[in-house]
Amino acid sequence: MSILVVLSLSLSAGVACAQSDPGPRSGAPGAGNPIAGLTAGQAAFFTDGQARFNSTHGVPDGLGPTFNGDSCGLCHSQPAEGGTSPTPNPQVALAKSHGAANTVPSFVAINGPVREVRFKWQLNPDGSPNRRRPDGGVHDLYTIQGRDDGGSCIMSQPNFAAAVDSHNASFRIPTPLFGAGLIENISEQTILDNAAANAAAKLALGILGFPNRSGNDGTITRFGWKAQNKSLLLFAGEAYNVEMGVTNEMFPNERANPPASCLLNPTPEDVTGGDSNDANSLSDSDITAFAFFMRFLDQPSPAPSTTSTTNGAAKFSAVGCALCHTPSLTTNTTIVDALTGVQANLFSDLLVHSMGDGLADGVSQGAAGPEQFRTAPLWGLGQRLYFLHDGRTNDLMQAIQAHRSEDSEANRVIRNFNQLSVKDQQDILNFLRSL
Amino acid sequence: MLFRIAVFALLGSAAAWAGQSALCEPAANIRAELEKATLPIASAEAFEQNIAPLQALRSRNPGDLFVHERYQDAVQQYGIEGHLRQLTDEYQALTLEHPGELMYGYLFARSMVGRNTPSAIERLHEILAKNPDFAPAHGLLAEIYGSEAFRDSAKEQIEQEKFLSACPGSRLTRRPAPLPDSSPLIERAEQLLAQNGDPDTTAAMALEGLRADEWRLQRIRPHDWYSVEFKRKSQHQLQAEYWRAWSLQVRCYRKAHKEEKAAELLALMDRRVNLLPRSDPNYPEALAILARLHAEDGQARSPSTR
Repeated sequence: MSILVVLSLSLSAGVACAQSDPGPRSGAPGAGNPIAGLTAGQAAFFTDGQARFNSTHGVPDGLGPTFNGDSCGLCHSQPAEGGTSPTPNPQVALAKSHGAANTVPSFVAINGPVREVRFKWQLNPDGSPNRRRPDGGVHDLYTIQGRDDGGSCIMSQPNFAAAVDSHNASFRIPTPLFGAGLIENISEQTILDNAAANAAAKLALGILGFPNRSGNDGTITRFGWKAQNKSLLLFAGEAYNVEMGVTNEMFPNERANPPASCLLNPTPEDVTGGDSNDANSLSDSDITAFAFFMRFLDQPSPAPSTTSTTNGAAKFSAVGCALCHTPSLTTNTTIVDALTGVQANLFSDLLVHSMGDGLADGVSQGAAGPEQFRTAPLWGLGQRLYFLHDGRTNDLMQAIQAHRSEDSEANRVIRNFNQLSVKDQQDILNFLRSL
Repeated sequence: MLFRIAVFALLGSAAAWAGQSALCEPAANIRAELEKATLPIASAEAFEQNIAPLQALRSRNPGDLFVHERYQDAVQQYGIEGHLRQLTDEYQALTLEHPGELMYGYLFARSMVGRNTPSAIERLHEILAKNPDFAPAHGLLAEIYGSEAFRDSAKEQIEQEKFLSACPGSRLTRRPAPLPDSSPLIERAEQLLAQNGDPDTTAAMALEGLRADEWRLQRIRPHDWYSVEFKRKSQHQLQAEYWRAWSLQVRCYRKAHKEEKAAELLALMDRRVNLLPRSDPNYPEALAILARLHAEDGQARSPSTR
């Protein structure tokens, strides 16, 4: 065979077979439904929680004085209610909704992910970051100033431009909530047993990992990008207050020290028993309803297997990805039959791992340090639009490569991945997009 | 001897009467300053501007009961939830700075009237148990017991008599203050639109009407003068106005050839109606409003229903 033929064959093989993210899986959402086997009463809780989850809030409902979204569903809706960041980014229109006077920050784009921003460090009086005083908290994008229901509130947005310029800003995108009830009902022993499993393989690849724990009772926490939250109720209460400004019985105080002119509602704004803790009303608080909705959300359904995805699944394990992205864990016995003994195909060990300086966000939560993150569950990944904790990429290949940086536990696994053939890498990408 | 006793008794009662008199009415110079300071200088919603003269007067006269009382009344009149909360915090802090001082204890109790009135009543009775002749507390209790929410005619009469015997000729205040009327601006805006008025002016008028009624609702929601049912009804009334105002805005946008904005607001309204419980009193009207707006747009689709 002539050299020219060989070269052209090689070239065409390279161009034709270059691995690439096939993109979000089209078709019906494989998620957003209630888990099978709920009782009628439980199903009613799910439906009520879902409606409230999607309810758009105004200031009289408790929105603000600062907020990132005006409903849970605004941010958690891809590919279905309870999901992750949709597109186009609804936060752009939200800035001026109802006459509000907000400016859209530079890191919120119409074709980018929904984001919240945290400051790594507290600010000096001159606005510069004080690197001796960690912050780590969420600083909401918008205020209610100018809204038609915002009264005479005068409250400026934080100086996000300065935070970005001084590298004091770190971003997070919404975590998907599918299968959250299953996660909540995986026993501590199961998590710990799984952490101890395959010890030799993990050691060889430099994989460590440890559970994050509650500072109150020492039990394993499991929700959030750093597994910082203990339960769905706590998760709901915190998010309701942090992301929407709705004070509740779990988090009863307004954040960001707003001026008096911006405090338009008695607190907490979300209470059991409807208005004024009316004992004659049997209604749950919103956060309780949200917790039920999340708890009863089923895990995403993967696409049917193909030869490519079957090979991809095998290679996913072979290179070591599955040592952190544990394919499945089984739930414990619970009072909810539909959640008992269920195989949760979450592709996560629910442990916190060091991911290196490339993914470090400068924020510590519980025992998870600035470069440590919970293994993100990969179920439902096939229909997600943005990846990693900050949504920095919508390309799966880039997301995989981002696992590699100095001091990351994933370095050797990614090296293994990069040494695979193009076809095998593509099969892994196809497999991931089938989840 | 008897004459001396009589003189001393007369002087004593005169002194007591003079002391009581100081608690019944402000001194002439203070009265003049109060009159100047309590003229509203801006719209009712402009809290900071309206309260500033009284804040200044209070700084100049920190020991004057009437200045404090008028300041508190102004916060209640012009303030919203946050201001009312701040007021109670402020006077609690003053009681800690001046422990045992009757005036501050009374003012702290007074700051809770209309917010946590039962607590205020309890505190006022505690004050009177130790200071039975403290006329302002009697007066305030008479006002509270005369209100619809806390009416107790027998107690009202007792407190009224005690107050008036200490402060003959003084007046009591009706509580709560009358609510402002609902804003006529949304109705005017609807009329203006029907008369082919300028769309931007019309939309601005509707928005102004909403703001005024939001502020009016702030006169109701934070206060325990009003029942939960009344608060809920007022909230629903305001929400009905929102639907009218949004409907106006959509029509104004269309008139001003801002079709994209009209469509955006209409889509928002569509989403909102789907999230209203069917039992919500505004649900039928909201559906009707949307049906009209869609029909006016010449579109065949009707708002999606659950």
